[in-house]
Amino acid sequence: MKFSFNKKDILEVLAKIQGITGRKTSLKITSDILIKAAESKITITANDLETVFTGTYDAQVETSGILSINSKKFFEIIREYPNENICINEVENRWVEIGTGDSVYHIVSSDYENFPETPVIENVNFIEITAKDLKKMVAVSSVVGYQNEEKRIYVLGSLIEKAAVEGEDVLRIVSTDSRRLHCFDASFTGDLDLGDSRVIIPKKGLAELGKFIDSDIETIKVGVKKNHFVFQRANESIMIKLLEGDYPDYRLVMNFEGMIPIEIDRAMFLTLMKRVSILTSEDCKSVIFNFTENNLTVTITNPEIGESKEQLMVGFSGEEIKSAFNPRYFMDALNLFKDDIVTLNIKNSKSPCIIKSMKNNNLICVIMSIHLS
Amino acid sequence: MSRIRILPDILSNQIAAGEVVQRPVSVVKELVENAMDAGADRIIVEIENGGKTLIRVSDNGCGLSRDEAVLALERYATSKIYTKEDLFSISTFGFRGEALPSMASVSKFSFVSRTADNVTGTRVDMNGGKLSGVTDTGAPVGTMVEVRQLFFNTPARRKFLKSENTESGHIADALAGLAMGNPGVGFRLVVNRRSVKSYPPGQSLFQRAQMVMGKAVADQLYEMHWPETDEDAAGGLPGLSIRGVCANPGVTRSTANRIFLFVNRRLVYDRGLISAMFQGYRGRIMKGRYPVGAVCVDLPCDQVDVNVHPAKREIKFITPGPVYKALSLAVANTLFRGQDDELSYARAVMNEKKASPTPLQAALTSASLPETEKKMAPDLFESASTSQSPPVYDAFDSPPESFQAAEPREKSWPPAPDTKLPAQAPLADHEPETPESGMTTPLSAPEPFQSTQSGFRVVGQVLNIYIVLEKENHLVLVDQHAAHERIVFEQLLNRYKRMDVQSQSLAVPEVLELSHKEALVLESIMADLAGLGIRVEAFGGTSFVIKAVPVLVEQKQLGPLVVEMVEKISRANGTGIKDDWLEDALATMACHRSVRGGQSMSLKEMTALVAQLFTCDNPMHCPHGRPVFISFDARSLEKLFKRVV
Repeated sequence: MKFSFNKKDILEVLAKIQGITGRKTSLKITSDILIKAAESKITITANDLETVFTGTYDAQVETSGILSINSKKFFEIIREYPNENICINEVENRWVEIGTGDSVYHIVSSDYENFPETPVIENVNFIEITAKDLKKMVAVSSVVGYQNEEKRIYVLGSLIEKAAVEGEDVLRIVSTDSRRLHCFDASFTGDLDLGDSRVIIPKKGLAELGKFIDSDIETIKVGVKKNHFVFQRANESIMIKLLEGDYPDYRLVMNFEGMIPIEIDRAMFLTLMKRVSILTSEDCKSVIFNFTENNLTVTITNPEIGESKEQLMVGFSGEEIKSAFNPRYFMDALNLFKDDIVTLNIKNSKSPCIIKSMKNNNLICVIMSIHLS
Repeated sequence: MSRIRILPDILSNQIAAGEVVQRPVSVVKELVENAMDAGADRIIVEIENGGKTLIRVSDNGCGLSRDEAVLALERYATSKIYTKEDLFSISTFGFRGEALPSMASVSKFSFVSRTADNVTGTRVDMNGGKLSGVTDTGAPVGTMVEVRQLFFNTPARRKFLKSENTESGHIADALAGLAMGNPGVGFRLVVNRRSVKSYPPGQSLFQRAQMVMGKAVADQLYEMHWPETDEDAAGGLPGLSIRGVCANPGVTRSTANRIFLFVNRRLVYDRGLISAMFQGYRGRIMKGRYPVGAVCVDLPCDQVDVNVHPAKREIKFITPGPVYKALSLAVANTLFRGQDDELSYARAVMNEKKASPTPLQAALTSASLPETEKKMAPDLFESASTSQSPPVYDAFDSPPESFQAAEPREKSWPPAPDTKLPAQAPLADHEPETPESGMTTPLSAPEPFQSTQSGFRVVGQVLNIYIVLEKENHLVLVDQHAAHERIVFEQLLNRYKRMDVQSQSLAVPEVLELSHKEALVLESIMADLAGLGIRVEAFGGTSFVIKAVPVLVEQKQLGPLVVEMVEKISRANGTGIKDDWLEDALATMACHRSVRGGQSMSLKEMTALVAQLFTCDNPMHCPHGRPVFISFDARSLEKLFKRVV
C-alpha cells in the first residue's frame, strides 16, 4: 500500500487517540492503530478492547491496503516530520517507509490480522444532544476518579439513564466514588432507546470521548446499541463498551427532606475551600464547617503543620450545625457550576452536603460528611 | 437372631486403633507419653524400617506389677483417672486407656515391666490382640514395650504407610517435639540400630531448645517467660505461666512447623497460639515467613480441655483471650530485650541462610548418608556404637560424649565454603551466651541515641545506600532507606494515634453477607471497628453495611478487609482486632516519604538519622520487617581476612 496525506489533516486526531492506545496492556497490538487506505480516503482505527475510535480522512491513495503500526511512534514521527505532505509506503514484509527525501523512516509494523475486530453496529437510534451538554456530562463523570486497583463497577463507570423531569425526558448521568455523587441532566431531541433503560459507561472511555467534543455550537449524535455507547460526529465515531453490573440507588442520597438551603457565593466559597485545603494532608483530609446564625466558619487543625480559620457571611439561621468534609470535593463540585450563587443544603452534623444551582436542578452534587471521633 | 450385637473386644480395639494408631509415629508418641507418665527420666526409642518392622520404647519409670501389666492391656484400663472429676483436670499425658490395647490389636506386641519392689519382671505377649503368654522374666526396673509388624493383620492400613524415610522422619520430628516439652527427661532415638539423636536428661528448657533447634539457631535464641512482674500476674489469668524460647527474627521458616507449642507439657497445635506468637513478632519478620521457637504454657488443668481429640493434639482454652495476650506480650518483650544489645541482635539477623537440618532431614541422612558427609552433623552420629544390641536398657548408664555437648561446639562445623558470601558464611558459630546476656537487662525502651554515650561513630556512606558505623569493635552497616522508613513510620503512627479518627461516610454503603458465626464475631467487634474509623451497622439477619471508612484508606474497598478480619478472628478464637491494613497504609506512606537508596548523604545528615533512629520504639526493623542494621564483629572480620582460622 502506498498513500500520502497532509500533516495537518491527521496530526490532531493522532494526538487525541493517544489516550486509547497509550494504556498499559498485555495485548501489545492495542497500542497500534490500524490504517486502511482506499479510494482517496484513509480510515484510522484505535481499539483498546473497551473504546473503539474510527475516523475517515482525505488522502492521496496510490495503492490501497491496510497496516497496523505503533500509535505512539507513528504520532511522534508525524508530529516532528519537517514537510507538510507525508508519504507512507509499505515496502515489504510489513516494513513501512515513512517520508521521502532527506528524512526517511523504516518502521516495523504488526500483522493487521491480529488487530482487534471493530464491532459492527448499525441502525442505531441516535438522539441529538448539544456539544456543551455532552461536555458537561463528561466533566461530571470524570471529575470523580478512581485508583488503579478499583473493582467496584459503580466507581469505574457512570450511570446513564432516561429520567423524567417535570414531564420532560432528560438524559441523566450519575457519577460517584461513594464519597461524593454528581448527577447531571441534559435535554435531548430524538427517540432514546437505552435497551436496559439504564446503562453503565466506563469513565475512562467517556473521558477519551470528551477529547473529540471541541465545538460549543454543534450538536452531537449519541446512542446505545448492542451493549455499546455510540458517539457519532461527521467523519468520526467512537464506540464504548458498556460495563455490566448493578448501579446502586443513587436517589437515596439526593434526599432534600429536612435540608436547610444556604445561598452562597460560588467563587468566594471556591477560593475559601482552596485556601483551607492547603493545610490538608494524606492522613488529615477533613475541615470542619460550623454554621451559625448568618455565619460559616471553616477550620482545620493539622498537627505539626498548623491551623487555619476562615469566616464567611452566609444566609443561615437555625440551630448550629457542625460537620466535617473534604474540601477538595467541594472544589471539584463548585467548578462544575457556572452560576454566581449556588445553594448548599445541609441537615445536621451527620448529613451529606448537597450543592445545586438556585435556578434549576440540572446539576446536583452530593458530598458525604466525615465523622470525627 | 438380633441384628444388633456388641462388638467383640478385638474388633472394637481395632476400631479404636484406627483413631489412636494412625501410623508408627502415633505408637511412639503414645508409648513415650506413657513412659513420661510413669515418671521415667530416661527413654529410649528404637525403630527399624521406619517403625514398620519394630518400635521399641524402654524407660526407667515406675513399672507395673504382674497383675497390673495384664490389666493394662484391657480397653479402658488406666491408672491415670479414677473419677469424673479427674477427667476435667487432667495432668497426665494419657488418660483414655485406649492406647495399649489398640496398638496390641494391630501388631505383634510384647510388654516387659518390673517395679522396684519386685525381683522379677513380667513379660506379656500378644498377637493381633490375643493374649499369647504371660511369663516371668529378668528385667531392669521400668517398662519396655515392643510393637512388631504394625498393621500385620490390617493390610489396608499397612498399605497407607509411606516410605521408611518418611515414617522415620515423622518419628524423629515427634520425638524432637516431645524432647522439647520435657527437657528434664533424657531421650535417645535409635534408628536401625544406630543412635541418631540423644538428648541428655536434666537439661533446662533453653539448653534443650538449643539442641532441638540445631546448631545454627542455637546461638540466636532468646529465653522468655511470663509473667515477668507481679503486675503481669495480677492482670492475667491466675496460675498462667509461659516459658519458652523464641529465635531472633532473622531466623525464619516458610512454614509454622518449627514453632513448638506445649500446653501443660503436652505438644499441641493451636492456631490461636501461633497467631499470638506472630503478633509478638509483628513488625520484625517479613510477610509470608514464620518465626521459630518453643512455647510452654502452663495453666491450671481445669482451664484447658484436652479431651477434644483422641490423639490429644488439639486443645481448647476455657478463656483463650488472656493466654494469647500473655504470649504476644512475652514474645514482644523478649525480642525488645534482645534488641538492647543491638550489635548481637543485628549480627544474628544476617545468619538466616544457614539453617540447620530439620530432624526429618537428620533422620533421613542418618539412614542413608555416605561416610564423608556425616561430619556435617557430627553430634547425630557419634554414639552409634553404644546401642548395637537391643534392648538397650542401660545405654544411659554410660552417657556418650554427645550428651555433655549441650553447648554448640565450634570446631565441628565445616569452614566457610565460599568467601564470596562473607555476610552469611563464617559468622554463625560462636558465642552462644549472647541471647542469655540479653536476658539480664531489665525491660525498658531503648535508650535515646547519643553518639558519645552509645558509642556509635559514623564512618561514612558507601554505595549511596549504606551508612557505615563503628562501635565496640563492631562494624555496623545501616540501610539508610530502611532506617529512615522506620523513623517516618513511627512519626506517622504517633501522629495518627494523636489525631481524631476521621471516618468518611459512604454514599454507597458496602453490604457484607456473613455466616451466622461470622456475624456474631462482627457484632462483637463493631465498637472496636468504629474506633478505627470503620462504621458498620447491622442490616438485618446476617447482613451488615459499612457506612463509613477511615480517610487513610478511603480509596479502598473495605468490605473484603473486614470479612478477612472477621474470618481471622473466628479462626483464632478471638485474638483481637488487627489493624494491619492501617499500618500497611502508613508504611506505604512512610516508604514514599523516606530517603531512598542511592541518595548521597552528608555526615551531618547521617549522624542525625542514626540519632533519630535510636529514639524509635523498634529501630532494628523497617516497617515491612526488613532489618535496618547488620553488624560484623572484629572476630568475624579477622576470620574473613584469615587472621584467625
